[in-house]
Amino acid sequence: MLSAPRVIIIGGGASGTLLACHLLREPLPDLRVTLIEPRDELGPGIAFSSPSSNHLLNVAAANMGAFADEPRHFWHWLVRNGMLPASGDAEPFFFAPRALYGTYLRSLIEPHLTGDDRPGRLSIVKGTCVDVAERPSGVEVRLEDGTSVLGHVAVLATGHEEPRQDGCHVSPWVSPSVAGVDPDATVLILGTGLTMVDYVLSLLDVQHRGPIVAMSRRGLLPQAHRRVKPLIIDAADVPFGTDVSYFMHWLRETIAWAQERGDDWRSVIDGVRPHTQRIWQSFSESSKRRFLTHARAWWDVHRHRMPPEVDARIKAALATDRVQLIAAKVVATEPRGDGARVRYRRRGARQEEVLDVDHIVSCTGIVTNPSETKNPLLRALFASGRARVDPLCIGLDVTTDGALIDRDGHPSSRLFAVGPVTRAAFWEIVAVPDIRTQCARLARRILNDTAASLAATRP
Amino acid sequence: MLTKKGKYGLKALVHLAGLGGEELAQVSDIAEAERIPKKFLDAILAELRNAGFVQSRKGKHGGYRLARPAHEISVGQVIRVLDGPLAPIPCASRTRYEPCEDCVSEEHCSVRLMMLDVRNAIAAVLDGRTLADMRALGNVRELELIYHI
Repeated sequence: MLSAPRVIIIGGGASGTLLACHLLREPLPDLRVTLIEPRDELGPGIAFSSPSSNHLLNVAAANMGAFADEPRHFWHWLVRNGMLPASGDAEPFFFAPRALYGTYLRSLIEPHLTGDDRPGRLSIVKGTCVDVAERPSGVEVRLEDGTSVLGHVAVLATGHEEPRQDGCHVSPWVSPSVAGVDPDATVLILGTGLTMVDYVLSLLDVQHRGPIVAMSRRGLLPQAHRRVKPLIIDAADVPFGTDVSYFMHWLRETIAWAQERGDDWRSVIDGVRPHTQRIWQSFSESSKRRFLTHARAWWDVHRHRMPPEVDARIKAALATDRVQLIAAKVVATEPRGDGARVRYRRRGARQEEVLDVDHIVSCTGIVTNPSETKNPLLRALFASGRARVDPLCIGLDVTTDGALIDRDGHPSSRLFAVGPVTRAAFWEIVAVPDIRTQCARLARRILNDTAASLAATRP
Repeated sequence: MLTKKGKYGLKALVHLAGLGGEELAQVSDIAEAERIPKKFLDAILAELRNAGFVQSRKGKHGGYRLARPAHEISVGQVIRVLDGPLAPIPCASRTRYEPCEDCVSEEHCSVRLMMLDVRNAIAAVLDGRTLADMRALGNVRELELIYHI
């Protein structure tokens, strides 16, 4: 019988780490948090592991703090640890290398671990989860090695799906030289968003000489960040609950109005950002579906922007034909020797074209169909009916509180999820500023729930 | 702040919230029941359809009905579409507003700033009520009347 609240977090990447920090922020000496993570490193996860100093965060340092009430927490950490660029222009409109953020995340959990001189409330278990069972007063998380971890509540923080790495596929998160990409190889990158941009920079950094082709249906590149005047938009301004075409029309009209006043469209997009989750939740299922089909690409490139220095490099690479950008749809891929032959059709064209490549890099984005997941835990939960895919097939079906919804539509009181895997209920849940708010709410809910259930079971 | 357009639109929607299942209501019937000028109502319903709150079918057995369940449409959402961003005075909104003729500085005008707070309070109330709630409000009053007879 567990007498003190025990929370198990499955996944030790950014989302899991941020949740742990929020839970441990509360002055609860009896609280125990267990983080389960298969990687050696806690904190960085997929998003922040890149060792390259050219892979930058896409959010300015001033707004990457781990806590919503302290958005500059990361910025202060950078300053305290002397990690700012030598130019010394202490300026929060600064895009830090991703690896630094990973280091920052790790530094947040260190104090909670058991040290030589102090007990800790956080324990790390290195392993892969394969199932979670609900017990009368808690949960049992089962690992691949046969061991189990018991707790009151389990939270899935499983993050992004690992991209394909079989055959000639290489992961965009692994350095090209480590993945064995020959400098003269022809590389096809699927997707033309931020991940593609980072991977192209990786190739250029290792002096890649072979052809680099980036392909997506619309061939849109992310826009660049610019320092602009912030525009406050209140909830009263936003047409929640309207049809997606009405909404997008409002957004474009508002941008036109701002531009007429001499303001930048970025100010409008940034002004809408605090409301995006509520907007998404107010949409009908049909509007959500049509947003994903028709409006998503436009929204992505305007909302997910590149640091100016990155924009300059990629534009230069395109201008000198170092990289080729093609708006096209892949029709078929077949293995050919060690590489592949890719058939594709350009946007608006009738005939198919062929490209022989040595490597394919999947940068098609973070939204994948969860029923195709390779994660054994998710597969087990789908199979047992304790979790289900949302109707739009973009994530786990969860309530707006983060509780897992089972096959019969009932929300769980012991199984939760946090981070990108909850995108079906929130849409905007990949950036730290969104995840930290979600963590604050979920931490409060979990601590209230466990306190209540413990009080109820006391004699 | 609530114009005739907003008021008529709300009345029409609450009327539609009372329909059952697959039922449709003809514009002329709504106009008569709610005492709304028919031509005006035609235009209002067209806007509400464009915004995604109502659906329509043409022809003899045609008419309008809600496009979403009544408990999924909030009053605040409807008013924003019909009357704009809930501004108690024209400059009390953050987007697409007109400064007053006598405006010295919109960023520092205490009247404007106060009215922006008022607006947020209005939004909180309107966003907290759905068409289903409004329909229920109307029913309670009717029941109270019956009780006193």
